[in-house]
Amino acid sequence: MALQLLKDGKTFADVNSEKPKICFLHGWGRSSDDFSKISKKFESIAIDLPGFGKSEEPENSMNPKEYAEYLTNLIPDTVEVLVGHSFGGKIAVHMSFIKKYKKIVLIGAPLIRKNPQTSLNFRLNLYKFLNSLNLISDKTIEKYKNKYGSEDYKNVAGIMRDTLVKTVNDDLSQLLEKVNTKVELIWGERDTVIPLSIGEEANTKLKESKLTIIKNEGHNMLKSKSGQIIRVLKEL
Amino acid sequence: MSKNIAVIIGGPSSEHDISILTGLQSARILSKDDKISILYWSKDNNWYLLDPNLESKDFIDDEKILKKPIELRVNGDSGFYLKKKKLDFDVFLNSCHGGPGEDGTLQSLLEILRVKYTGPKVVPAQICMDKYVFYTTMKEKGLPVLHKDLVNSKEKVTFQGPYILKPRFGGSSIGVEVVNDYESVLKIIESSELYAQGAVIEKYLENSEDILIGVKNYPSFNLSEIEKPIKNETLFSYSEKYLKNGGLEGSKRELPAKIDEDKKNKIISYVEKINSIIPTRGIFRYDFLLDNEDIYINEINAIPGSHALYLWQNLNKSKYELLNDIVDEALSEEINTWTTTGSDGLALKSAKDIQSKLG
Repeated sequence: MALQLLKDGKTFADVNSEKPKICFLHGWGRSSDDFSKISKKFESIAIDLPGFGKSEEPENSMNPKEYAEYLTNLIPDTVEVLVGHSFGGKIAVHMSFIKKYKKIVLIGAPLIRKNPQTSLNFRLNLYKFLNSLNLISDKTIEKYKNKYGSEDYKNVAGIMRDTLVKTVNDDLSQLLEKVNTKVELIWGERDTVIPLSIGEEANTKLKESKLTIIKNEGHNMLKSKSGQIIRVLKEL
Repeated sequence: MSKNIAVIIGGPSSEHDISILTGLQSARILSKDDKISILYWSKDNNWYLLDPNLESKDFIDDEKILKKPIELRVNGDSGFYLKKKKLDFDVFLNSCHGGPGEDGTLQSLLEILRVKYTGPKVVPAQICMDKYVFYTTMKEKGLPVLHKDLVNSKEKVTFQGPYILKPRFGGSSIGVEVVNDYESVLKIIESSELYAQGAVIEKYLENSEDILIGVKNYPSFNLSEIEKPIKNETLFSYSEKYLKNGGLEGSKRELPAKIDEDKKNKIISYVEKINSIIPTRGIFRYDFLLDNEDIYINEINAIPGSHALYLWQNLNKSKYELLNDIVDEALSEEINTWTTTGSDGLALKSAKDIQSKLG
């Protein structure tokens, strides 16, 4: 596998073939390196998504659907299977509505939105209300978000922070029933970021899907359990 | 005889943390017979005296351990001072990796302080850290080395990819990438600080293997067993090398590596030749590339992780004895003298005023 700048002149990918069959999409805050043990076993392309790894930040914040549109035009036509981990899985679902793929493989993907902690939400809404009455400043709200926001939220700023908000707010639950592509779901049994229950629920909503559970693993198992994931992909 | 040794660890380098591991291990080994102090060079370029019994975890939140800042004095009784009191050491064991601790900068400081220290002296340290100068030196002497180009957007590249891209300076695998084409190489170097001091490329040999060997010259010239690290990913990545196994010593390896006699003899002859040009001081680790039948000298690591003590199963010596050799070597040598012969004042006396020289 070797890094290569793609035709847009700002997005990098780890590629080993001019006619890749599988495209790998990594999770939030990660890079193509997550797939390094898996991708080399296939004719493949593993993207550094815009804003991550070696790739440039997008000029404006993007939602997952916009990522999907951008990537559909960017990756080679020979790609038949999409493999998305977490955030990358969300993008893969959107891509399957733009172009027909043989299969999409979703690993620990946030396919259904969990309710955020209600107490924090209540406080944030109250702050926003007070802010609208000019009783508290924008700064205070920003401070509150920085204090109680997720690790991902705290770790980014600017365009990518807006992109994160758009990503979290993008709820696929209504879309899942309309997916016409075969879906392979892979979940770590002990995933605490996107719990297995989401994978199980998605499995019932999707028309044609299969769920493989990886025992004793959490959210990031692409390197530790690369062997098992390679086996699932080889069966396709 | 018990010695009073200061182990220098840390340094503002991307291998700062690994150096802490090497230094604490060394301190623990030497404390069997010697009096050990730790001199910690922090990421933000400050110096502290530390307790040699610290654990690596103590450095994660290091505010608690940084109680004794050290002053440097160049004039008069030069050296390291704690609250106006000079810290007297017989010798400094340099356990820094990468950056200014390994590239000649720290070595220069220690020369100015007129103290004895282990490991590479100023110029060998600089040559081993500059991949392009090292390459041209090897090439000039007819040693087998993979062709390297400096990356420069103004010049055409002389060979086809895929390439290995490396920062020109720096000994770690940080910033080392396999890249398909030159356009991508240029894009990567312009978008990352890692290559601000320059970058080099060489041909990526997909099936090549790394071959490592330790070299020491004190008390006599010796080679270690040959090691073949076992890699799973495309490159021997930083995480693979250091993070997964708790330091270099815990990495997967074949030791001694199964290599036929013929290749082994070639490697030994190359080592001898290189050692005559860039003499090893302390323990250097030579890294070779084995590509089918071809052998290339890749680089020299002048302060390898864990001081490469794990490589020497062939010499009937304990880790203490190996480190002690490094220390004794430094103690056995006189501090470099500088001569002022030729500056006897004659030129000053005969000179007219400075202004007239500018005319």
